[in-house]
Amino acid sequence: MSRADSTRGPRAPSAHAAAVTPTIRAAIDAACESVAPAWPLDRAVAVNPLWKHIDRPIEQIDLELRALGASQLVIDRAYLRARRAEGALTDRAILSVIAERPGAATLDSVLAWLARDERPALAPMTVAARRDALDRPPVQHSWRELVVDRVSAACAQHFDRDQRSIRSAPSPTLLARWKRSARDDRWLHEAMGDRSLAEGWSALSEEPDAVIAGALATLGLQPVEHESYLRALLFDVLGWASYAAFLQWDARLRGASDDALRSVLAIRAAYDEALLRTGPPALEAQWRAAWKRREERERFAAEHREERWVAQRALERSFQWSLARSLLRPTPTDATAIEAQLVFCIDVRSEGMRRAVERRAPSFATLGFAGFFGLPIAATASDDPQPSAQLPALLAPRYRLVLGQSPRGALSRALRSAVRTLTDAPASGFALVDATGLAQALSYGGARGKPPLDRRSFSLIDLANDKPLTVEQRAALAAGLLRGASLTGPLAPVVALIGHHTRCANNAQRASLECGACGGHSGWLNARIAAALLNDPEVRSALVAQGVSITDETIFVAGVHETTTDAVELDKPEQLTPAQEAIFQRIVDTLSLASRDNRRERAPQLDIAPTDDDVIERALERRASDWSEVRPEWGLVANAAFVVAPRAQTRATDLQRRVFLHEYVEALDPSHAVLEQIMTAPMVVAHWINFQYYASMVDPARFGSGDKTLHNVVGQQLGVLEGAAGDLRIGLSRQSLNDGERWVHEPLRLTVVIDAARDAIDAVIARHPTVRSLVEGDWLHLFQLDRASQALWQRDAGGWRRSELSER
Amino acid sequence: MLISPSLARALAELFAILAPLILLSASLSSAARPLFRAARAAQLAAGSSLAAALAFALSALLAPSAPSAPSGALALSSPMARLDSPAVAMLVLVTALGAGIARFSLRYLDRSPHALGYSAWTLRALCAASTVVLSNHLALTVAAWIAASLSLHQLLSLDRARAAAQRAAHSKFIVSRSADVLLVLALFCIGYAARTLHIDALRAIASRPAPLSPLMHLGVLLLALGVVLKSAQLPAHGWLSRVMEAPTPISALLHAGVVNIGAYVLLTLAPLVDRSTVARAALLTAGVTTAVVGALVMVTQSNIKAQLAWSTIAQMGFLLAQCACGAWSFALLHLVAHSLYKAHAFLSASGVVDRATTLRRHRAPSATALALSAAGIAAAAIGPIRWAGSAPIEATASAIVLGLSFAPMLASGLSSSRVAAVGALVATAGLLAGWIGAHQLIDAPWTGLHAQRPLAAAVALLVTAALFAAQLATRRAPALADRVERLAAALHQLDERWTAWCFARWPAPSASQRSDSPDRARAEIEQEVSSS
Repeated sequence: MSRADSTRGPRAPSAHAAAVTPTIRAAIDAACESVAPAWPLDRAVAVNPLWKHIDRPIEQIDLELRALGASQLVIDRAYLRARRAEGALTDRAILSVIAERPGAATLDSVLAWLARDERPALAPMTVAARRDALDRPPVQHSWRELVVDRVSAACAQHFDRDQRSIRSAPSPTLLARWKRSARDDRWLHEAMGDRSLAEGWSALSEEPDAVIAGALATLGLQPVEHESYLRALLFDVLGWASYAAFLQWDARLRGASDDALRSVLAIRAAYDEALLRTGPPALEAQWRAAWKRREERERFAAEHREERWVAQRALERSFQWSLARSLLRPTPTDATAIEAQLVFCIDVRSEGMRRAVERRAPSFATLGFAGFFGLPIAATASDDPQPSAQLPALLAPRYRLVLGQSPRGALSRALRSAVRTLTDAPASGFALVDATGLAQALSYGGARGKPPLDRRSFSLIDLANDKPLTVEQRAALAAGLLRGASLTGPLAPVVALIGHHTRCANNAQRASLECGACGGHSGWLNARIAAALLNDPEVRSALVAQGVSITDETIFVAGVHETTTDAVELDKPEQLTPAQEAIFQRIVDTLSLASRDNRRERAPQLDIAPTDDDVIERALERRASDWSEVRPEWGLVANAAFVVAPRAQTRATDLQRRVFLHEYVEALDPSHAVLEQIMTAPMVVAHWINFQYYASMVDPARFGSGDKTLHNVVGQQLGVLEGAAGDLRIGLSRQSLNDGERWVHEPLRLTVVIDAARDAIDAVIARHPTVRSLVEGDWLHLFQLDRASQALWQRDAGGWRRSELSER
Repeated sequence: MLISPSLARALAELFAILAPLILLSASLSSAARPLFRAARAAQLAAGSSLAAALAFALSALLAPSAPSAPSGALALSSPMARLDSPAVAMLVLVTALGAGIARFSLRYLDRSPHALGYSAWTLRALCAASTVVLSNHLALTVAAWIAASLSLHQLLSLDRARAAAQRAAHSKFIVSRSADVLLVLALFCIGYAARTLHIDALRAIASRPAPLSPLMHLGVLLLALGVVLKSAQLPAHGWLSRVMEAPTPISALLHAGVVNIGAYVLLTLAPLVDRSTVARAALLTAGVTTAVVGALVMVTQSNIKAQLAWSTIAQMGFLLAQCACGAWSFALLHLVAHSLYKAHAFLSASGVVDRATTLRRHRAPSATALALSAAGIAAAAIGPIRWAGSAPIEATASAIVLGLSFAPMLASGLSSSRVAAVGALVATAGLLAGWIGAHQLIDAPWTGLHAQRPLAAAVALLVTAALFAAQLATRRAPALADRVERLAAALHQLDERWTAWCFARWPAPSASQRSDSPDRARAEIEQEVSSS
């Protein structure tokens, strides 16, 4: 018996003297370590919200989350039935998956399961959810909503640095901050039925762990149940927990620490404890009984486990068949001399452009490489409010990019900044409205023109010693780029490095359309700096020492692909030889044709009749500048695969902008160092993006951000609420996945295909536990492309096997 | 002469009446592409209103003998409708805002499952609001006002499955219906006392020297209290801070359109309100308190839409205070300016992320810099304000208001970089010009409105100075900032108690089965699990 049983009275003031034992601390640590970070809106990179769960197989995590009433990871049956009606979920695909699984599912059992209606999920294993079944607070909210609203308000007030201009003295911790406001929350105390809660909460410890231990004692949970329960609590306030996890992640990248996440957990636990103590008599018995029924819950959660995952896999199988058809097609070898190499980001949106470029110009080669071009930089400018980290979220910036003042637009920016000061000042609003209101009528047109590309001067500073980069450091960056992009073979006279960015207006989730490899920013800066590095004669001569040579016949140019309108802009270098000049011109012409082709290809998906190129261009231009547009472009929707191979392997096929393409030539990488880099960085980033889309669609209430038309930005960039209150919302909005009538995204786990020796792939898997977890836990599907035998080999927990995909 | 003043006037009346008719007829047809049809109808109505405004201006130009149009009654359709210059301005505002919002929704709500209901009820709300603007009969005014409020209720509760939206709409519904009771009682009192409900007649009665009867005083007071409730004044402010549960364009329509109707109704009855000291005292108390408290609470809110909602609460307070002072032309200016400002602020709310990353946040200026900037701006403003025709005391008060209002911008700009300083100087000049120009425009004889300006200037100075002092004090003493935060929390508590009390007696319709929190259904499954 736990001690809470003997001390608990119906109105007993909270007893919080419970000791924080090492097991409790371990349970808290484990629960807090299970939350993946969610980045703020201005640098919101895609992330797998279950990233901290990947150490176990996805099917097991799904089971655990279902048993906890926290979430579930397979799309609902209504969607699967619709896909079956469309012919994407065939008997053949289902049978093919069943053949590979040891489970007991049959075609009939899968179809029978599919035909039945979805059953409601289990209620979360929190006191709030239990109490909701017994009584309701007097405002027609559920207890869960009331509690989440309060946690959310406390977090918003504590984490906000920008929105409020009147702020009380900052509290040292979120918990202390919450205690101050919880004391005054008399209405809630009365609603719960205990006015003495105010004193109880004032007496709470300032130590999150002590508060959690106190709650655990009152709730009478067994030590083995602690971690599960705490995880259920964190899933209840997943948005703010994820933001706190971001603070922790960020602090760790800087070598510091942050324990706001423990405060979030402690606050949520304190509410659960109060709800139990003040609840109706039946509550406690039900609460205990619910935990005792753990096995029944698990059995319920495991019902039809085989059928669910067979259906999910069958959907993936249908896609994999079509991918295999493209990859295993014999590739025509191209004998023409390569005039130009165009390096694009691995982003799926590049695939359409690359295909169009190659169709228009057979003598051009295109390559895929992570769009930050290997530069670990954070940009700061003399007139920028904050540095922007232009690199994948997995890495910490090593160099600082210092940008000069922008000559253009400085005054207009200063003007707008000045007026913005007044919106923060309570005394200024009345006169401000009288002075500007009438003129505001002119701004309803809303459209803003295309901003010019940033061409400010720049310099690179080493963050370690605050000095400019040495030639060796710059040469190392350049060499890393060339090796990573498999550009160590012969170079064409002109090599274009083309980053990408989006253009949209009035969009709080703009970063989800930007370059993920550049930390949710434009890839233009990185492309420009990379080109400058590679053209630098000093760097080039230093490169020779590293075994890489760039002759004077080759010049690098920077460019950027605007994914909303598909316009590509190139920076024209000053010194071009006549031959280069001609090729440069040809690149510009080809890109303009390719843009037109790609626009035409995208038009139907955007509801534009693909009749006239000018009409399409105008429609896309409108989307890019329209302040009322909720779907400026489709971003990385429908992404499903990551192919690591020479372009020749995919060049002849249309991959429908669903595939991340990374250039990789095994022959140029004898040590397989580049392979290791690809599997540990770009593959993980692709998985994050893929799984963000997946999770946002399979459990939108938990992992998606709801209806974009209700979005309400908190703290200017922390995140969004859906409506006036509730938890912070993470993930993608419904509008990013669904066109209002049908799903444009298809929830498929990433299919990775690598053109390298199986031993080499295994060696990387053996060295990197995260990669191993992803592959063996079925968080993605890994295949090897065996060109010699024209076959695909699949690697999962059971090792390698020749895939059935090859037989078709 | 091709066109006579009376012909121009008849045209103005025709086009004005046409606007609500267009909106109404479009709202009744349920055809394909409802958003597109709504945008076109709103555009057409706005066009009709603009034509009415042009014809009205023409008629005023052609008949220079009667510039201020003492009676606004329509020749065409009297006694139910009237058209004077504030009505023309308001009609253009309502329909043009409606057109702007409908155009915005075209893409924003594209393929929303609620597009049909959204379009129909938006058009109906706009039609009802334009009817209030044109009405010459107080009963019609109140009826149309209630119709606007009910249309808005439909908009706020469009998503039947969203429990939070249903609750928010319901809490507004309760306050609005309570206000309606006051308004209907006011109708009885005023009608019984004056033996008429025609607005023109009421205005005429008020301009006679005979004192108003006690019943008339009561009627005007009830009307004012109804306006207070419908303008989200303390302590009945809560509903406005909770109705962000519907798509952004609906918030824009609410904050820029429907919430303003009360102030406009007071404006149509200006002579009557001017003579009712009790009603003015009530409006002034509610208005000034709400303006000061609302503006302070606004800057303690951490999300953009709550900040905008509290801003509206404060601005409505300021507007009602201006009405109470009898500064009717200033009130009309503030109403129009705030509508345009706030609808834009809502529609562009998601851009706050981009603004935060691209715009520079200046350093907080020192107290000396603030004082010098305030003095400088006031000194620069006083000349032009005097030149524009204000009395010395009033001009001084206004100049100080402008100094205090714009000083934070100028001071922080001057204490940052050179570009920032230039930007702040240019912005200050622009804002001063905008403020003086707008007041000059509204004070022209064409509006036919008078303003008891010294009192209004004094109230504006009081509100601004109080807030400026609070702003300075909270920056220096975090303990005071803590007080403000606790005040905000206390208001929230008050609102929760009130909502709980109301909901216990008058529950909101529960959300349909596709609920956000299917906790009960889950609990049933739970039982099933345990029994199996």
